Amino acid sequence: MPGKNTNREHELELRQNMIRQWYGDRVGEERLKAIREVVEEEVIDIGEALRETPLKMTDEPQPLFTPYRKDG
Amino acid sequence: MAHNPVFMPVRRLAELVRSRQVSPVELAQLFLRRLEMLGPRYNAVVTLTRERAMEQARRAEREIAEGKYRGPLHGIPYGLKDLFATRGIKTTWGAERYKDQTPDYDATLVRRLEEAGAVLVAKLAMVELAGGFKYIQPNNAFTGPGLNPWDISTQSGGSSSGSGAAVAAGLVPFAIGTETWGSIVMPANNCGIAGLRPTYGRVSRHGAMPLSWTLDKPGPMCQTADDCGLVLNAIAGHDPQDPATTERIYEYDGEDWGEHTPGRRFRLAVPKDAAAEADDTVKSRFDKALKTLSGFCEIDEVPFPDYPYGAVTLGVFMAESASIWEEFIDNGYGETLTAPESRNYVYPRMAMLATDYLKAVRLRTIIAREADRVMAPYDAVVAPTCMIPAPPVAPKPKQSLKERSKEIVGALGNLAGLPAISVPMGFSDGMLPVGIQFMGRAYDDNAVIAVARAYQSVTDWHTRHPADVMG
Repeated sequence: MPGKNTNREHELELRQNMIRQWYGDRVGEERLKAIREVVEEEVIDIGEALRETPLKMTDEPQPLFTPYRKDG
Repeated sequence: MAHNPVFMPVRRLAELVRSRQVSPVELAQLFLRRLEMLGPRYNAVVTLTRERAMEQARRAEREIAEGKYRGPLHGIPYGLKDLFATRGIKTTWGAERYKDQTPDYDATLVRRLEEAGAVLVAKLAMVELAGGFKYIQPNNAFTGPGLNPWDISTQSGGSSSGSGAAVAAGLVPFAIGTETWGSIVMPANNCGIAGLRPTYGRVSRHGAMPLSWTLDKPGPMCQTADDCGLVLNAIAGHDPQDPATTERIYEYDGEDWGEHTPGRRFRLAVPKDAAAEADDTVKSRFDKALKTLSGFCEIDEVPFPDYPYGAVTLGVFMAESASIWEEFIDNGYGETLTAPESRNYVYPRMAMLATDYLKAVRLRTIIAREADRVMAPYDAVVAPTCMIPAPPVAPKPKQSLKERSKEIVGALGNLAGLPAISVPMGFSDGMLPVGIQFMGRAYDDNAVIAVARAYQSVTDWHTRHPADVMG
């Protein structure tokens, strides 16, 4: 079975589409081009950098959620 | 007034107030005058809080006369970054959208300073929304860019721009700033003052504009490292209204020096290539500072593990800020930002996935543990605060993620919530200050203050002030 497609262009198009669908009418085509550059240099670059370090399933975020009870 | 309080460290000023040689009312009047006269020169002030200041100053004067002295901040004026809620006083966050926002309560930090007897004289300018949407231009929507008292063609730095400038120009004895990533230590670097970023959770964020829940940290900006300790002592502590605040008790050990007694040798770690990206001025001043430090410190060069520090920090920031500001963004308020370029930075964070964020916070846990292991044998890590002196007031050149990642100490320190203090370590040929930072293990706020205090006891950079603002 092929793995998840994390090709950079594909990933960029996917994320840019989210922005286009949500905010395209507001910002227009010209600005969408400029926004695409930001999506690439921030969202895509971050994603790639994060994937470079392997994580084990047991590497949990800290702090963990603590159940809340007002009276202690 | 027989004494000139302008540029006087809080510790000395406090002694004069306690012994009634200086009147809190006269102090408040003096600093209100300076803020009114000189504040506009640096675009440093949003609101003068005259009425509240005079009421607090009169109360302080009365209490001290009656022998009810509250401690070293009693009767001392201060300025507050305009992102902390103040009851009945506009709290603008530096942005058009919030220009009339008037909270009906005080932020916890404001309340604690009031309890310590400090006198709020001004809400100070900040970069619009704390630069959360990439401040390519260092603007505040109402006052313009923060200008540096050492040279008004350069930036005071952000996002605590007014806090940095006001302390450097002697408009307030101390100020409060906040840091998500660089917003205290960078203006401290640019303006030649002491700026302390406390351990995350030391100081309550309740009532402060949120930018990133797990990165935001309020802290003091002062004339000296010692003053930062005095102010931290008043504002630190658990707050039920901020679940991130620690139960650990903070007590500033400045008077007895705790374990950091004079004559004790500190152990410092310099990250490998700490100044590699610095310009020649910063490199040479840092080398000189290391020589000075070697007089009372053991200094080792230490390699830090190779992690994508910048990407992880930015990943946390982007995802948290996307959630915090979702309604603002969806309602189109991002289009009201003053810098047109910034408006394009509003939307991309909405394309972060939950898995991106969780990967970043999982990596953060590993990085924090690794950093603590590396730092455990040392009192502090030392590095230049910034790689350049204050830049000109102009749109910032784009900085790639790779470039941002090279400044390990800033990215790691904020990501892992570690305390750091910046103090001046010299000047450029053009007389712009440059800073050195000391960063410690979590909750070692006193250790970083102690090293900085020891450094300031053998240097005089912090006693120099811009020529045209002398009191």
